[in-house]
Amino acid sequence: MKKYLKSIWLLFTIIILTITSCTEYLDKTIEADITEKDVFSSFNTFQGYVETLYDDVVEWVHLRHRFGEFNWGDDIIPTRKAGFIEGDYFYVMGSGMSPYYNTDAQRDNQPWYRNLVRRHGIWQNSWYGIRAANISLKNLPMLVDATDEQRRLIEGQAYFFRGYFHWEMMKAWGAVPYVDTVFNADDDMRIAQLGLHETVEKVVSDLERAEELLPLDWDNIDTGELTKGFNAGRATRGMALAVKAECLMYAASPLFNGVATGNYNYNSQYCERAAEAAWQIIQLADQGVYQLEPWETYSQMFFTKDNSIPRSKEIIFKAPNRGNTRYFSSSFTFGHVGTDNWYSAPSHNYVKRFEMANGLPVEDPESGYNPNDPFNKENRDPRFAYNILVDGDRIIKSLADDRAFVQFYVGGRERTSSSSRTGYGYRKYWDETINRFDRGWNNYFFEIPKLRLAEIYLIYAECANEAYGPNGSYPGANFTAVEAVNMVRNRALMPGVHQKFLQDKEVFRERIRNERAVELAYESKRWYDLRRWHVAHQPEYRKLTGLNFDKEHTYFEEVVVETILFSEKHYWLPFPVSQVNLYPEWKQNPGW
Amino acid sequence: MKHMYKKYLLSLSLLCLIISKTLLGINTGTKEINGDITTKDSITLNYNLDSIVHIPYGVVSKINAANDISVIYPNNTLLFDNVSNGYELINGKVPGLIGNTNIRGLGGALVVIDGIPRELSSVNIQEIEQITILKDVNSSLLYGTRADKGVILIKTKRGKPNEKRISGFFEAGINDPISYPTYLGSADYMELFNEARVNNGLNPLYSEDVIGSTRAGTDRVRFPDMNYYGSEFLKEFKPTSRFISEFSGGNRDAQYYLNLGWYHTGTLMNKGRDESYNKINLRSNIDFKIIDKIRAYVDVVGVFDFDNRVNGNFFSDASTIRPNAYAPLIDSSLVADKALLSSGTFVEGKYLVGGTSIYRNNPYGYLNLGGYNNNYGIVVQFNNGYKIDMSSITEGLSLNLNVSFDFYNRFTASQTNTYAVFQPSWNDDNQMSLTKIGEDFFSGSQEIRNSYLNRKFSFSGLLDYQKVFRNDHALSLSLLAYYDTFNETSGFYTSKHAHLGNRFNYVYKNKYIVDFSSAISYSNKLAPENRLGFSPSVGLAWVISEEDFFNKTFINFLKLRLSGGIMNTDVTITDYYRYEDIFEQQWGYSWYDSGRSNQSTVVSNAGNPNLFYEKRKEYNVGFESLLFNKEVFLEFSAFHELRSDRVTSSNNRYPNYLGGINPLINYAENKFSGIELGVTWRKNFTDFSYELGTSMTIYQTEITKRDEYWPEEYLYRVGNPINANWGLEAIGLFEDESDIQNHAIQEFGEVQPGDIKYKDQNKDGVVNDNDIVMLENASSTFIGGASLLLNYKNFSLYVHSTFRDGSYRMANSAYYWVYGDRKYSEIVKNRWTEQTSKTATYPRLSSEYNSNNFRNSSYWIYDNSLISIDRIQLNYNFPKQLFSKFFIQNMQVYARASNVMAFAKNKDKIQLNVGSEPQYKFYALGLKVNF
Repeated sequence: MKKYLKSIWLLFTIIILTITSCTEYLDKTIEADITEKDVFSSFNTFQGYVETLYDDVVEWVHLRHRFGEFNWGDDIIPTRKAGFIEGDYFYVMGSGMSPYYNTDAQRDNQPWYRNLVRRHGIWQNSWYGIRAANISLKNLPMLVDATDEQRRLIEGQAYFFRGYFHWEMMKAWGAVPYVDTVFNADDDMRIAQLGLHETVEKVVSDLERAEELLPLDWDNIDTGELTKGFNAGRATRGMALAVKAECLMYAASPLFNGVATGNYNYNSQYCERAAEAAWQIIQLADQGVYQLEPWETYSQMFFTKDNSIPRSKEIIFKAPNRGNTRYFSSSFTFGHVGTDNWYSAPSHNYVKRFEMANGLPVEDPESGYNPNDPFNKENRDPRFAYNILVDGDRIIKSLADDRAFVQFYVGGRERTSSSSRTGYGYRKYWDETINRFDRGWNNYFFEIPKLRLAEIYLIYAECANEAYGPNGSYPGANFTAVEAVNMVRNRALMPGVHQKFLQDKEVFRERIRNERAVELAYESKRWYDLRRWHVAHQPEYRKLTGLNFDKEHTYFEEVVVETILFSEKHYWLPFPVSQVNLYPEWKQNPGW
Repeated sequence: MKHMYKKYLLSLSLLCLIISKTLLGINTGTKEINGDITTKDSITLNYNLDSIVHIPYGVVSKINAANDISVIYPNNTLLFDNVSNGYELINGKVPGLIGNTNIRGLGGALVVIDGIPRELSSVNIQEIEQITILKDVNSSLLYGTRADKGVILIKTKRGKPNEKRISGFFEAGINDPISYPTYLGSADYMELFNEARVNNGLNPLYSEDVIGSTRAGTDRVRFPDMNYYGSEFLKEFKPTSRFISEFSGGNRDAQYYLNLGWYHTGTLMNKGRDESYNKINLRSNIDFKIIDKIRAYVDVVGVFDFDNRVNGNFFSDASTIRPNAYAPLIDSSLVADKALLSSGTFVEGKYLVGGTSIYRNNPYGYLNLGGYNNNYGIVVQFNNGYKIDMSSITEGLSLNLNVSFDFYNRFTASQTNTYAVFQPSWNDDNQMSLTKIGEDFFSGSQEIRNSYLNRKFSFSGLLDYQKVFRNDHALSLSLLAYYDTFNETSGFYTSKHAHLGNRFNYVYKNKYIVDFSSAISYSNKLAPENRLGFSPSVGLAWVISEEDFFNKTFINFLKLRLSGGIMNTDVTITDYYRYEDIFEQQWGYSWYDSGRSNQSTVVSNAGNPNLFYEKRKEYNVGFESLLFNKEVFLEFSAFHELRSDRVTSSNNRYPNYLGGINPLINYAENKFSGIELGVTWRKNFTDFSYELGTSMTIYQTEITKRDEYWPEEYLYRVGNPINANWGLEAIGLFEDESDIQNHAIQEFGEVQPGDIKYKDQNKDGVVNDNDIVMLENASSTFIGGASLLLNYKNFSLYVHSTFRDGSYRMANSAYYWVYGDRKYSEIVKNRWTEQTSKTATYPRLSSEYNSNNFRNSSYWIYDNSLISIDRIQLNYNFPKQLFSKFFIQNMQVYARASNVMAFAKNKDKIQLNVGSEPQYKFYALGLKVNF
């Protein structure tokens, strides 16, 4: 019997051994996949991973993001429901083309789509970017095949983007949870929101680390040698400084300070720090790293027609270009010259912010502004003619008949509910060859810079004015707030700010704010500024007006076309509901 | 998990030890089990309780099965019911089986042929000895993770010692199309299309003159009116024939079985190349003794498909090309330009093929000139096995080993020709001139395309122990090791399965039955520490009628059974490595200021190391009984199934901190519950007998957990059936402008009177996707079949019917959703116009895409319930004495009809095929001879 037992045992052993040994055999061959080691061990492959971060920077122009969808202040009236006028931010976020959340929920589920085509809004791209940055930082020890310089580049870019992506969300949502670890699916992810200023400090600290690690110009380092001359756009010390300056300015501004401390006025400490950061960039400009674009070539910052990417030494930070932008023409070409009509028209109240050529605002009795001759370009700020399209302007270069000239008068061809509702149009990113007759759009690229030197001057001016007064300056800078504003004005062939506005901090503040409106018009800054200054709820910033006039210009009448619904809750976008429902520590923004 | 694995092995070993110990001092002797309960073969359900039923890797007496299983013996049913395929054979006969291979609504069950997962189409019915439908976890567990939706187990015939059989079977029949789509003729179409254009604010396209001339029908070249569904293209019938011969026999040492079959179907097309479908089956197996203790078998199967088709899709064209699109044929005698004439190829003697630059596919053209697509399929299966009798170790012990190779190859051999089409035009003097579009190109060569190959290798080893102790204790124990590999041309990875299984069956005094099964699966789709999955199940049965206290007056037999189990499955995880982060390289990321690029890398999957098996948790209760002098067999089951931990993409469960690329998680859950009922009533008289049977399933499905987030409560899928029609709730058609003004804004495009009006569910003043509701269930909730068999002397008559209720469909094919350039079906006749606004059954016509009307809504929903008389067959068996001189044992002739009748509210919709061959009724005569 014992013998039998033995045999039975033997048999089972054989079978079990067969099976257990075949677990090895069941393992899938892994040659086809890239392992973490493949990705993170050498500079080239690691950089390949980091480079997708640039792709996550939301480019306003991208695909079908239309003007009405990111210029939400008192600057624009779109032709169709955009959500912001009605105060319906859930609609804005959920609508298929919103630049804030995602753009195509259905295709979001497809990994190939998520990866191959970055066509998402700030919310989605930022979280993706933050995770990728954290993964990069975590895997830095795996990087063996790299020089010290290259190691610093990887680390610097990762810190820059981690800070930047948090910041990009904070501008719209406030204090988002700050994620600085790589979560695994089984980790507890219930991290609480920090206070607004604490979160700002986290961002600033990331940016400062990036500042230490990143070079001023990739052209001047060994790693950039291979792509010398083509390194513009890569993360630099200037980029980190510029985002930091913007971030500190926001932190100093009444909204952020109000939410953080209850005091809806400027925070002078943050003003000083913002002025310091701005001053550091201005010093870089003095060294020749950056330079204001001369007025003659001003448009080069915004568009080109020769199939080249807009570039300028003035631009500090912008999203990577994704090619021809012909599709965007629907936002600023009209039905008969363009491809589509989803027009967004400048509002008259905003157009009035362009001063007279003598440097006085149009409301000023001494300015010489004639309400019955509002389209006169000769006596206005040159930026008026550059930015704004007025009745009778040429819109088609090659035609001689009346189709070539825009008709904005009441009853005119371009004064309809599907084109201009205000009597104005844009010119900033566009000229009269971008249409289906001249076909200038075939080689047309246009971009909206994220941060450029002119804004840095204005950041310096705004913060130095609050901290040290109009004629004060950051200690050691020897550069006053007034001088900073005048740098920007003089470039546009405008005189300096008139003497009578320079005595008082509050009066000068309004001129700085006006200068931002004019210089940065339609660069998606206005909604953020009105919120930052905590003025967006005030009636004068909620009325969108148009100008009624006849073909012969015998009368001009300002009319209210839309009134923006803006209450206290509209200072922040609502978080996606599915997110704040996940755990109680993450709270919905007040009012939503 | 590893511990569990070890514990399991330990307990198995202990079990073996106990068994071995028990052997000491036990005198063995076998006993026929339940020999006293015998009934004759039956039709719908086999209630032959002592018959041997094939279960995974073994057999069991039906009476000793503690599981919910059903058995079909084709050999018996083929005596009076000659179905042509396996689906027909089981449809409506098995409680719990819901159409095709769907058990309890779980979806496609695993089809196992001779121990290996295989295609049902690779076997023909005459080759089958037995079909076992394994419905519960306890019975299907041994087939591993793929058996998660139940198993349809097919055992093919084998030779029997000293029983020589030769039989022949021949059947010939015709397929009679049930219905064709009805489209409007050219003149009617043009009138209505004009109306559609006017509705869309456009001018009419067709003048009154053109419509008049078309209606007059004198000049079909200039005013074409093409009818596809007439005798011009289609025959009345399509022929089908089958021939099958079987040879089997052998002696004690070796047996053989051979089945040779041929199946042929002709074509419905009246023109052009002869299309046909031919299938040849060959199945042969031999069992032989190697030495006394070792028997072996070798099976070889070959299935060859030949599908010859023309190079065009007639039924698709017939349902899309409008009748006036082009002149189909142009009589050469009308053509003045002789040079042009000579450059064209005539069809049917004297015609040029008409067409336009858009319509270059003219059926006259491709049927006659277009070349062909011949599809070939080859299946080769090979099994080799050994049965090693190990009774020298201990009686009742045996080892079975099996190795199988399967190959499947398919390809298309085609000759693709192009041909010129001619477009006529007329000048002011009504002189016709022709434009030639395209060129004739008759390819002389044949091209092989769509080549596909897969191969499968599998191995199983089974250690089996069966014994009866002290007359009352019947014990059977099986231990299984299985693995297989599967490769295909398109797949990069070899897919592999492996599992261990065991079954333990104990019967005490034929009264108490305990059946325990378990499996350990190993999945390489899961993280290494999660790869082992342990699936246990248990079945208990009590033959209460065997108890002394049981009164057998009315109930002759009664078995109560209870089974339950948890099965792990990984089949729903379709990719590998989903448990860890996956990096993928992409094309070079184009760096922004130049063409220079660097290969970029992205993460395409966020890993979830905890990803685990999906589970099927189930329990069944039921009984089987014989009543009223064994005339009535009644069986009943109630089941409750949970598919839990379903693998799903976690879109709403995680914060976006994971970067929006969310991992797969085990989260969702579905519930299936219902009852199954089978009844057979059989009565015998002297010359006459009848059997009446029915089987039915009443069941419901419910989504019990789902990762979802919706803005409205009623949009949540949880609480609703798994398959359901979701859509807007239509509340009629807009009557007029004021009706539109007073209603919520419908955000699907401009609406006008005659468009569909939808209910604003959330009352927010707009109708959009947030107003979608669950409309109706899409799966039947009541389904089954009923059969009747009458025997009178040498005649027998069999009727089989099936029924279903509770399912709804959306009439959303191009036949029902007519807009733009779509072909107008007769459905549009009753469209909305101002005059017919009260009686219209179809929205106003639209000459462009109308996204308001043509979207899923209750307007298009229809009841899919049906009672169908599937088959009627009349048989005559020739008296045996008639042939005794001719070596013929018996001979039968029959006449049968399929899809004879249907009763349904929406019969027209259910029976209509659009864009493909029609559904058929089938009439056939057959002859069967046994030598």
